[in-house]
Amino acid sequence: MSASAPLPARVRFVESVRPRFGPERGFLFDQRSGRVFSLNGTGAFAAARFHDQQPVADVLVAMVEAFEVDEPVARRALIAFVEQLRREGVAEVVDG
Amino acid sequence: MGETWIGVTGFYATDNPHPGLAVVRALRQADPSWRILALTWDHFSTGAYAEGLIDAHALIPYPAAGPRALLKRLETVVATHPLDVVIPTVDAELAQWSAMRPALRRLGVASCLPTMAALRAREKRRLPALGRRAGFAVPETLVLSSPDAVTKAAGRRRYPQIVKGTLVDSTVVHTPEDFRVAGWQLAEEWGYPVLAQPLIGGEEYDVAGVARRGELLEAAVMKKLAVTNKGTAWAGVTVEEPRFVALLRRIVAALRWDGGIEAEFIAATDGGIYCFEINPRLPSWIALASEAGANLPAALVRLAMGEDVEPALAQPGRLLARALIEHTYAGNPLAALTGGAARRNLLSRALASPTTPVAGRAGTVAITGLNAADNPSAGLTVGRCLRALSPAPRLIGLTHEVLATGVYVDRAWDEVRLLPFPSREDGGYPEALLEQCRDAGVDCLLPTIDVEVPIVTWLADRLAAAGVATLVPPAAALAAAAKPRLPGIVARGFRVPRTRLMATWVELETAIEEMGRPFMLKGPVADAKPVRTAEEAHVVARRLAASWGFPLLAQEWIAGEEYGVAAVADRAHRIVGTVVVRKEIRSANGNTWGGTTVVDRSLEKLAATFAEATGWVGPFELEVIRHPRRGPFVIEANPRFPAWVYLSAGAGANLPWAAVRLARGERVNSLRPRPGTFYVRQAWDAIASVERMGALSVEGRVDGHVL
Repeated sequence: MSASAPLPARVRFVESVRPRFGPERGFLFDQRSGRVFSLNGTGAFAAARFHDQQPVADVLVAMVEAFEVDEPVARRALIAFVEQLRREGVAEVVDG
Repeated sequence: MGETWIGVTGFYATDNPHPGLAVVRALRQADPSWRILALTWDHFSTGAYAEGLIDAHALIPYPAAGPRALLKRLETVVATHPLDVVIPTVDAELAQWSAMRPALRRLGVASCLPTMAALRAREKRRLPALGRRAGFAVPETLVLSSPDAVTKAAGRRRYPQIVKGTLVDSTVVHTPEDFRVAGWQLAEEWGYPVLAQPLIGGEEYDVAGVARRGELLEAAVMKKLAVTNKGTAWAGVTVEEPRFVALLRRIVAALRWDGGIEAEFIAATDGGIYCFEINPRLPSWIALASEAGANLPAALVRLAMGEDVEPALAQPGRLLARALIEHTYAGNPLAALTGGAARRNLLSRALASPTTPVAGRAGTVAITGLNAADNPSAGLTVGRCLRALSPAPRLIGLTHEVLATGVYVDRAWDEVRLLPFPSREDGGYPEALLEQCRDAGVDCLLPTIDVEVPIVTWLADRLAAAGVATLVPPAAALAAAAKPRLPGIVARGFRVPRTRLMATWVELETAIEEMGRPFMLKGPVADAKPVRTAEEAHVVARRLAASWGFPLLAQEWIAGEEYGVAAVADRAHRIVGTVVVRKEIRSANGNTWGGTTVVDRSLEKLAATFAEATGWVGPFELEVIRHPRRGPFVIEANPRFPAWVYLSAGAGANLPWAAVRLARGERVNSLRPRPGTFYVRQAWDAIASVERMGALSVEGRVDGHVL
């Protein structure tokens, strides 16, 4: 994955997901599959902003600021996280 | 119209519970005017002691006695007591009840039961054929009808496999030797055939339903979140996954099913869905369905009585956490239950109140060890002892597992807080423990998990500086009582079974030669299994070493009556209270689910000598077997309260409260438990919203009110 890989516009949790976010942890429950997911602080930070329908580009900026990491590092982590949410069937990518 | 009396069976409510108690809970919730007659096999059925839920009892014969004996007993019951509807809940007895349907009608007892043909068609060995007929996938199933067949199959399978008993029970196996031993063990318990299936990786779902003439009327789907080593769920959550309901609909239609049913599925990692079992009755987790809006037991009663039932589907997001509930009685209330006649109100009259008045301040007490599933820690029961005080202290439950089942018991705690996994070094456990205690205003901490006790001993001074009192043994005492070193107390006058410590596999061969048959194999920290053959010893040793590491212990088999001795020693190593229980109801893994307090001076003396000899401070439990000729043997010494310690409150000698007071530096007069107090505990499904798990996971704390 290159450091300039494109970000999706927005990420939306599927309807069956019941999320909960705190400053240090997050929790997702998919009431269709019954699967539960624990998120660490970084995951909770990003997922809470997805849930608020913030553009992924804004989430990236917020992450760089909040965690004092380089933009390429944060971008790679964010793309991997989105891909994982999508693969687990708990979120969809919304482009445009 | 008069009262409706519903007879329910299946009250073994221990580590792998029958569904009877959960069915009764649901019926009570549906219509409090319904009356419950517990049709119980014996006095070992812990669910039959559910005070407040059961109105009357009658004994029925074990399934092995056959349908004639059951019918004869029912005729006697019906002659002496009203019985309108019956709900059998145990696999082994379903065929008998089904065969008795005409006789039940003649007796005026309504039921909603499958036909014999339907029952047979869903048997484990016939499941592949049913799958082909009804259009669902079943794991490849091998039916093994003899020891020879097991031996031959063992060498040809691809591992891991799951070996299953013909009715219930299963073992996951990884080698041919493991396969053979599991097959023989299951056949010894349940007879042939045994079955073998490949272990399919994936997520497990159970679907319960109620059907009439092949039409599915009500259903609930639960995803298993945690299972015992037998595959029974001890935590799960209702989901809205419609694919499983559709599959169950196909199954009941193919079978033209009447009554309650449970189908177990695995959603495999390859995307397939496999049905690996169909049970001909409602499952033990059925209280969850009723809490989620689909009261299947009530639907079954209404169908039996010829009433209409509106279709219903359990709502998603209700969480099941299998914990336990306890009762104490002034003597065994079911001892009066003999012969065929039903008896009313046996329980309420016999209750032994655990309430203890408190003169001074109750304070705030933190307790660890909240997992109360199939092999319960003592935290919940210690908390209940302190809840029985009047006034009760504020109770803070400390857990390192979000799914610790005691977290989900309503009003057991004022607050629950999350800790990292107990360790001195990694993960910040010591700092988190101190911080949580400080933040919650805790003035006393009672650890109840073996691995935590040495850490609390190590932290005792820092806890004291933070205003948190403890009563824990010094490190030297803990070392002396550790399993591998316990035989050393023989020099101090204790009798301990002949024990061999094994640090290598070679030493296992020597132990097998020396010990005779059977003998016990034990892990270094927990777990113990009896073994009868060399091959079984190899398999069990491998399983124990995989779970607990080395050294393993081989121990001489001691035959005799089993006792538990719980005691608390003060800082001068003097005992302030000892409660001795004669273990009367035990699970296969040796846990105590029922027993009676006895006065036994020799066992009390044993506790006093142990405390003095080891320099013990705080709570402990000695597990003892009294050999009829050789006297008492100490089998194990546990550095904390046992999970049956609620008995001490019911017997008027509240040991946890004594420990709290000693920890705070108060004087405690010697406690004398009432002999003859009977204790029983039942597996009990705590039910909560899944949001509670989310809150504990995210915020690290929840209050005690469970919604």
